[in-house]
Amino acid sequence: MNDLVQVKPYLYELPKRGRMRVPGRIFATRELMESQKVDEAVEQVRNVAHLPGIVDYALAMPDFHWGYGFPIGGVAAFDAEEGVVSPGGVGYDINCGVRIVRTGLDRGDVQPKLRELVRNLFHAIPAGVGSDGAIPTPKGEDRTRIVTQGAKWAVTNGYGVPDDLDHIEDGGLYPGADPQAVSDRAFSRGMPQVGTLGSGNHFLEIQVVDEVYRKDVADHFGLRPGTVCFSIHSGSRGFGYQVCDDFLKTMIRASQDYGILLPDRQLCCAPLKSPEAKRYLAAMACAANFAWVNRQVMTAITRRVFARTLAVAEESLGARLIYDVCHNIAKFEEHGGRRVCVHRKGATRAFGPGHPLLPEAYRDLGQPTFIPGDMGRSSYLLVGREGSMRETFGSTCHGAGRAHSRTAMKKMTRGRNLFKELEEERGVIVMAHGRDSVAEEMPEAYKDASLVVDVMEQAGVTDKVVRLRPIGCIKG
Amino acid sequence: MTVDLLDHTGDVGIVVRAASLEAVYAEAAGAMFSILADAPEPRPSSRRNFAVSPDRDALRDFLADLLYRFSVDHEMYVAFAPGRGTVEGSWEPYDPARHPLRTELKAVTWHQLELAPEGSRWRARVIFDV
Repeated sequence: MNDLVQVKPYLYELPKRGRMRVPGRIFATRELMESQKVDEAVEQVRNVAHLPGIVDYALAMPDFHWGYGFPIGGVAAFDAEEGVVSPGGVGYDINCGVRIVRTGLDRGDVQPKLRELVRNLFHAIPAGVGSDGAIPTPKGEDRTRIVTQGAKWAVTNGYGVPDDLDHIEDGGLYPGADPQAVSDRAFSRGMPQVGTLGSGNHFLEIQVVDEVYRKDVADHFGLRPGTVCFSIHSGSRGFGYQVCDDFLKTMIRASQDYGILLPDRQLCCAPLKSPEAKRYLAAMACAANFAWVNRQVMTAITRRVFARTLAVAEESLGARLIYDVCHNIAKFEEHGGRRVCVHRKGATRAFGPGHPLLPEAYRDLGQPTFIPGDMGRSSYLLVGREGSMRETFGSTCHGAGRAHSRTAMKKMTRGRNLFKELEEERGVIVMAHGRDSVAEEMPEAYKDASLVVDVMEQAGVTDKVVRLRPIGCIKG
Repeated sequence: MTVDLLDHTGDVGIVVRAASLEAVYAEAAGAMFSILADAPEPRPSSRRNFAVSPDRDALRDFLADLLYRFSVDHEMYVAFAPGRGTVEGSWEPYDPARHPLRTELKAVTWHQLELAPEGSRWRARVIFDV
């Protein structure tokens, strides 16, 4: 780590050395770099810089931490002609992502029934293993349609409204999905899990806006202090995990076949123009579409539960999707006049104002992106700025980033009544399916999200729009 | 035999030491299931044999197969016994009421994967994606 150079208050650089093809850049303040052990994650940024066809820099966002191959919080772009695709640069949970839905409700409308609402959501949204799916397990043609139509399948089948599709990254559809590229195991693992949350850091959270930074943008989204929102953080479940698992094996072999020297086996990859890469991208697209269906189904169920619990018509809730973003994905995009495959692993797209891929309603504002903090502190809605296209291939952070391991958290929380702590000290009602979920995900497990989002603001990449505080949370 | 939990920022890992290759496989599998769910009153109804190999990727594939069987076929493995060149897993149907979930595992990774003799014993390291 001793060649890491702080070049700006919010930016470190790893000079190119040895077999690195480009330098590395880590967006972080000294405080964030010193707040936890970063050596392994920095080494991973260095390793990513070895991959063929990488463009400009191997990047890490301020919430970066140790991952597999790529660090979590890693961003790397590869030339579409000369570069590679790496499943490790996407992650096991393909299109893990998050969405934020704002309602027309104020805290006062929800608070008297909050405990009942959390309980009803807990019972309505299954976590995963051992539970029945939220919807009947798709069979026959529906299995194919889910992975080839993405979020549109969900809306067509009564889970959501057409307006939702305009507020999902890429309309909730990754083109080029080919179910033939996906193993039977992935279908078997995934299909019973449509509409399930998963565990770990996945959640469904009810929040209240408590501070506005950019009123112009907040007004456009219908947000003001006291507005009740809900967010869903989940991904492609067993479908995506199995796709990644299957293709890591393929890519380990492919890396050898194509003579790609890897500093770390989990950076295994194949040239973008190779059959292996094309097959992976086609399967990854299926998993991405599955994830959008998953989040869309859970959104629909959440709207229904809100309406039932509050004894109002669903239409009167004003529950409008602000935006849905991916955290783990590889996408072909244009940057600096060059077509590249941008890998975001624990990072979020955040295009600046004017980008043609943004929905018309947001084109002048920039792309919204939701940054979950932890279940005791704040989350943030951000909007992309012009700097994102210049500095980070249109990317920003995706969360707070872990400060402590799961093992450490279990030790630190031993003997504590965590549910009581969260409710009495932080005002958050939490229900969880897995026994260890809450311990491992307590607020102190994470860095302070405000420090993370402030780095991206200093760097001119994203602006804070509003801050939200959690009041209810469901975990797997 | 020892099983230690590894400190990894976002996920969970194990380091297993045992007297034989088969025992390492058995302990690693048992450790994985103890991370997944509790089984305070095991009542295994079926058994299945798995081949073992000194190749680290084979250990990973073995654990990944078990994870698949748990996730899809709801086979809750409650005990593993080392054999000769094999390990025998005893399982019962997964029942959320009898097997409270602890941590869902997404995958058995290749990250820092190790399987090697250590003196007269065997040692393995496996990291799971949570």
